[in-house]
Amino acid sequence: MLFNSLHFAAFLPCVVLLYYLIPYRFRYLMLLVASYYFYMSWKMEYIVLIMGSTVIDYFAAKKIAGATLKEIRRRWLVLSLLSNLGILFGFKYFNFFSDSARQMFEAFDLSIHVPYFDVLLPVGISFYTFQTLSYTIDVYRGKTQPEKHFGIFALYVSFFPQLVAGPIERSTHLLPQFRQKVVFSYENFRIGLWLMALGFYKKLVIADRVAIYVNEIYADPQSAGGMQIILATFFFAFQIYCDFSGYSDIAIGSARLMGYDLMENFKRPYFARSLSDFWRRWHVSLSSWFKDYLYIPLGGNRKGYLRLNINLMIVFLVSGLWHGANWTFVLWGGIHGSWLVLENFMSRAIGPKIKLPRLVSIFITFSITCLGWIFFRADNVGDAFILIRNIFQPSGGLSFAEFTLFDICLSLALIGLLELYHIFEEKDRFYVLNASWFVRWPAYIGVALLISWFGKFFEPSEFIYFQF
Amino acid sequence: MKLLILKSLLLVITIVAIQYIISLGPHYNPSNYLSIIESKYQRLNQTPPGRIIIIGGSSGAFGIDSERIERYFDRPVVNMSLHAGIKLKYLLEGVSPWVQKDDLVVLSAVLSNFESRGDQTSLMLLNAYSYLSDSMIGNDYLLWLKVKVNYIQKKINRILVQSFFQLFFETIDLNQVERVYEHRNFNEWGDIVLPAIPNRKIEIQGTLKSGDLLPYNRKLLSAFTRDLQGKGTRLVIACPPLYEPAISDLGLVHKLFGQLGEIPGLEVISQPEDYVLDESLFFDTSNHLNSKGKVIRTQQLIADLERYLSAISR
Repeated sequence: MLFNSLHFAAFLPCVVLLYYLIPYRFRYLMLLVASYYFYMSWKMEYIVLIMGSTVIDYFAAKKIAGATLKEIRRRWLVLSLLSNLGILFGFKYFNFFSDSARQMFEAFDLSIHVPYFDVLLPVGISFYTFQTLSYTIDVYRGKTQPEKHFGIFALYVSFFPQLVAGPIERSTHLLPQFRQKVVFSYENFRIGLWLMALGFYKKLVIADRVAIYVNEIYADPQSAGGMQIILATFFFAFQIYCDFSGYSDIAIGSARLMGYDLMENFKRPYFARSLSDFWRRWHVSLSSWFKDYLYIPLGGNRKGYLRLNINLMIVFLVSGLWHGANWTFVLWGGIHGSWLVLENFMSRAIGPKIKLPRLVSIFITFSITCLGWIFFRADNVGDAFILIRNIFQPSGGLSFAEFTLFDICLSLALIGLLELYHIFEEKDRFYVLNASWFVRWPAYIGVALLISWFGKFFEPSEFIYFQF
Repeated sequence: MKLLILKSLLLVITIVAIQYIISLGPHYNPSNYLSIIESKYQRLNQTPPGRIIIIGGSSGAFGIDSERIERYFDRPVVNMSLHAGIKLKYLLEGVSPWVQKDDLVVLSAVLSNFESRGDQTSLMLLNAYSYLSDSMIGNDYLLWLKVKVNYIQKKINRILVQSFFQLFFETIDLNQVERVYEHRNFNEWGDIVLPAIPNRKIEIQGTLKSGDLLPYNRKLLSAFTRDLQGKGTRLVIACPPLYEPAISDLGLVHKLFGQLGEIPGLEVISQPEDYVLDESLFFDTSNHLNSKGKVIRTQQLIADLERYLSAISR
């Protein structure tokens, strides 16, 4: 079920209404049923994977907390890690590694049979796997107590607003909320609906619109000229941002209608002044996950300068692989890791003496992220290099039949409006909601009109991050 | 709770009022090819039963001489064919309420229509239906809403072009329609009568990929056939023109026709071989015949219909 579908438009009001109508003690059950229904409307069989992860981690966490011997605790943790990562590997990475092995054997003229697993990637598997992993690791570290109520734990794993594309919630933040008695709050509705409206603006008005241009140019890298590639990559930067942060906004907004507070996942990333700043603003729930469960266990910055940089590279290569089983994503992670290493080197060599003007540093950071997006979006590594080479080739007209000059100008204006809003949001996340009525009401009406006038409703597309 | 409901209502009323005001006024492009839909429905509404109703995409609009068929069989002909992008569901449902006893419905759609999802509300459908009065759209309120939203979106784009865009860039006319696709080229039967124009480079469209009838489309056709049988009417399938350079193997067409023929009550009246036409008989796409091609295709359709009608009368 897509957030931008009529199915969801009917589903959410029913769930919210039921949520407030039924007695408090049954709410978790209703939400659990709704969440399973939400997931099963995509592919029924794969609910078994979520249920499997739920059962394993529920019991593993209880055993970890109950054991006194460290060895026993570790065994249960390893069982949880192996089973969760095993499922993830089997469904997401097996074919990637078997393809790579096959290509390598072919290069050496070896005829070795490499098996292929013909299966559809379960939507959201990377998200809920990381969410449950964080839970068992936190229990192992003694940061949190295991959840005793199986139903509430199952809801934590499968809570529908954030099930398929995050934010990846921590048990310490989300689980206690399921035990709180939520009463109807006008404020929650105001915030929730505003966030959802913003999310729909990002997804329907910007992401799905510029996708037409991006798809056309990236489908045929050989024929694309310099300006077309630059514009397509600029558009892709906003397509992926608006697609993903739009999803997060709708997820956070939907949860807020029921009184749940999910973490903020995007903090105006294209205002970042360095790549490290970018990663404090982009997909915050994932970057903080990697920081807590990979970077710090690797030693973080505690083991010297060289080790710090190696750790950074490891984290970003793994992060690339998390996004997708393709070398393009690994290279994307590699670009980010390398630039962060360079930023570390520069700050060590020069220190805070030289500070670039704000706009210049924003422009440089945005350009580097765009370079990364070329690899992220290209179908394969070869295409990415062709696109980079062709940036320096002259191009014909920018527009084409399905995306005229008017469409280009309109898209730029709509992106401009969003960034203008972000300037105010940078000062106050809920700037509009906290403003006086003569700012608030035109903003409500304006966003609703913009969505209805420029939203791409009729051929709804999936969210990009569903594939991860 | 009351406050939320009141404010939400106020917001919705304001937005609906603004949208309503925008939707007032003349249609944005009355000379558009798709705007003929209204006249086609008027003819469908006004002609007496016993008709031959032709449905399909633009291959039917460009490649059939309905007047000739009408004269030959001495039965009124209504050519409802418009655009393949309208998709199978709406091609069928669009005529369903108007079909009466003794009518004969001839479906001659581009073959890829049978392979692809036929239930999507395409932009082409919404654009075409925006020219219809609300009562013609029927009781599908969701479709009605989509048509209105799409219409307002188009109108806003037009306003933006005329008020801002043209200040900075070259003048563009969203109303501009290529000569051959103008509304005025349609005759009273619903056929395009092409002006004398040379053939162009042919764009190949709508070729078969697998020749498999999509199960969803099978259901649509079965339900439509049953509906027609209940009214004492029949549905037949006639082959659209097949562009010779794009047809390497008629096996896929036979495969599709075989599957269509298995639907109870539905009959395929054509042999694909009879509709493979030379490149010189098309004018811009592999679905659009020129005047010469139209004559050949119509003669073949008449022959197929005659064979079918005499068979069922025996």
